[in-house]
Amino acid sequence: MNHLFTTEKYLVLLFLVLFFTSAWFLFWKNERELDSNFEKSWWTLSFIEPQSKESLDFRVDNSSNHTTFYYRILNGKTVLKSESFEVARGERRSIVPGLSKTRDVRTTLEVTAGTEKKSLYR
Amino acid sequence: MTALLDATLFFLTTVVLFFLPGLFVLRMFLRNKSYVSALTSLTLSFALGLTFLNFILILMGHLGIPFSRTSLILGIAGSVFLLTALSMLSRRWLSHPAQGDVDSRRSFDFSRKQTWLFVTLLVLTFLIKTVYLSHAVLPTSTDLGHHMYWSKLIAETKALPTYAKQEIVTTPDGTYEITAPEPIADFIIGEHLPFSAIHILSGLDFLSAFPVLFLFLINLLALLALVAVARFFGENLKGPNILSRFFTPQNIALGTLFFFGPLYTLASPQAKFVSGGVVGNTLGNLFIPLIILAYGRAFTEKRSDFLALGFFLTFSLAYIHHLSMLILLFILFASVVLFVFIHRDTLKKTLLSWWYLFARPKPLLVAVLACLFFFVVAMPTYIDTSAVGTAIGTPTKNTRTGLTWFQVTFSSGEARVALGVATLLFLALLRTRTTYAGALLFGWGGILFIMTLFPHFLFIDIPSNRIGSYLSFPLGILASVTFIALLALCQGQQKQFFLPSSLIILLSFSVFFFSVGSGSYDNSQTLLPKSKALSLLQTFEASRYLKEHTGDEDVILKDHNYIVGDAWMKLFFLRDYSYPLSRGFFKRYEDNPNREQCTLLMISVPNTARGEKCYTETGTNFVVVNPHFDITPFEKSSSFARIYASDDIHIYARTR
Repeated sequence: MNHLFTTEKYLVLLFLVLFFTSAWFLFWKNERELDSNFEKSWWTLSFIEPQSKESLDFRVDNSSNHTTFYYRILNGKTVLKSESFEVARGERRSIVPGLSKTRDVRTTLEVTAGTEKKSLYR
Repeated sequence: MTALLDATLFFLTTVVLFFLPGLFVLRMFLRNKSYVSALTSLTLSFALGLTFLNFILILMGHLGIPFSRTSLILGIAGSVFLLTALSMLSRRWLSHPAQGDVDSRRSFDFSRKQTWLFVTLLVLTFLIKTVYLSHAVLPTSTDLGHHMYWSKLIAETKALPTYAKQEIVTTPDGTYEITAPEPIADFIIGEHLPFSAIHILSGLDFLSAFPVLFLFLINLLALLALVAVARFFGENLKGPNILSRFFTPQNIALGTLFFFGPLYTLASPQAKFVSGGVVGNTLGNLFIPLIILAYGRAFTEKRSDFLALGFFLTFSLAYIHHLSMLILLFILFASVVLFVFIHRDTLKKTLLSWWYLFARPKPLLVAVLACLFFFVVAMPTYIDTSAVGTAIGTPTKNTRTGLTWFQVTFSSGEARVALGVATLLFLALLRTRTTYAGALLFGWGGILFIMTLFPHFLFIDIPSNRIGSYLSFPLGILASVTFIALLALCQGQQKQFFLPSSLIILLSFSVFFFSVGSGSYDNSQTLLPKSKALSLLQTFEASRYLKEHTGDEDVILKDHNYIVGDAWMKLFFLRDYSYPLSRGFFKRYEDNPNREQCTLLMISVPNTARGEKCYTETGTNFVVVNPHFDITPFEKSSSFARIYASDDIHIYARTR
């Protein structure tokens, strides 16, 4: 009987070891999946002052393989300004174009990285 | 390295918060550690530790003690010390006559072969579940997001929450407004406090794997609880008309592990409930078998300590999950009615034996303390709200009028239903149906069948698929009984059943392959196709952006249909359970025309008069949508500016 009770204690130990191993693996898997830069390529574009009605200052959060970005500011179809800039992978960069939205006309900000294009407008 | 550290922290936290205090409480109920097996001790310790933690935190919350790492540890350690001291004193004052046959209960008594089979089944179970969860461990599920909002709120405010939420209503003069938070009955404190405590003690992030892992642990312990209760049934169902050579409690326990471990291990209510964040049901599925085991052993062995344990766990479940509590009450009621009916000729003797069992110090003390806690400290929130009233009555919707047989076999698994129903009928013929174990097993399976198939017989007004998810547990145990009985027939005593041995062997193999096929197919249907990590990261990043750039005067609306993990957005703001406002599933608006329509109109048709009225009167000024589905009306409008863009998320700000 003692032998059997001891055996069952080993089963408890086995259960705990298996659970710990699973937990370790799942934490590892989850951390890898939630790592922006692990086997993923994406970037975001946003206005720095979303509440403002005029500011066109923007930022790029880069988790992609692109490092060279290019922006254009358009008033309708007229290009007001264009420039390229660098953002390393895993970094955020704020850009201040020094322009404001023109009243009563949609002002669009287009940012291109390789073949990918994203735009914002006010 | 971080993962190893997180896993170690999580593991140690569960030991400190649940297993260790639970072990102390278990020793208070059952002084001799050999009263229950080591595996059952592990499961009971966890359930008791969780109960203990919940009650301590509720008490601390009502006394105004803020929840912190220090207060948590002092609260648990102080209570354990106090209870141990009381227990030692009571040992002096009260005599404790030896109860029950101790030696025969001390372990599962597995032979060497059975131990190896147990190990194999356990390893397979872990392997299949872990592989499935590796694709589903990301914090994306809606239900878990809702639950974790409350857990994080508790951890951040260091106090008990008020379960309430804001709603959009139409006032008598026809304007839309967002109300002050109003009470809701959907949540119960015991579902959330354990997650809060883990976060407070370990510092693990709610957006990490820990919430799913905690549910995974509960699910695995529920499996051990089922194995333990199956062994109890096996022990007490064994009669002279069942073959004894192979039909042993150990084999029935192993059969149960087979039916719940490698087979049907992913579908509801197992791993799918874990990844889906169905917290209450997952906890209920741990507590219900343990409570049945406690009552079963209390009445079978005339043990008042097990009765007290059953009371304590039952009382705990009332603070964890209302549906599980309702199901448990029906199971116990059905079992009692069945037992009383079978023993109607000796009713007085039966009732007297129950009274003698109850009128002992431990059950009385637990009952008195439970009543005091219930009336003086805190009642479960669903007692105050209308939840009880809405669950009882004639079924009001199509989804509540019962499942068909086809739906039952789909939700519980063909093999388990076929074998389970066969055993239920077979059980009615056995002499051992007259035992407490027989009544409990028959009551458990029988009442859930009625509640699932014919809820109107019992005036149950609850979605039938939710009740159906509880049915697979008794069915699995019943299926295991048939499975083992069939294998026992192959062992050479076939002549009792007047069947040729070749037919019995063929039948047994057919059942085995049918079970494996059905259970494995069920698993394969549940596997997830691909990871949602990239979309989820974008949701979280957009939430951080909005958190950074908005204030209390702003109102955000997001879409639930097409944004991955949107329910978790509320964890970034912790402003209200309904914040950000959400466009729900389209069907909900169709099914319930009285439901507010603003959240639908503001995304689907933002430029119409009603859409604009909603924006103006609710003060909504930011909208989060998936650009693959919902951008056209915003692009065309001059009232919106696009302020944020990623592949799967666009945020628009209303400019007027």
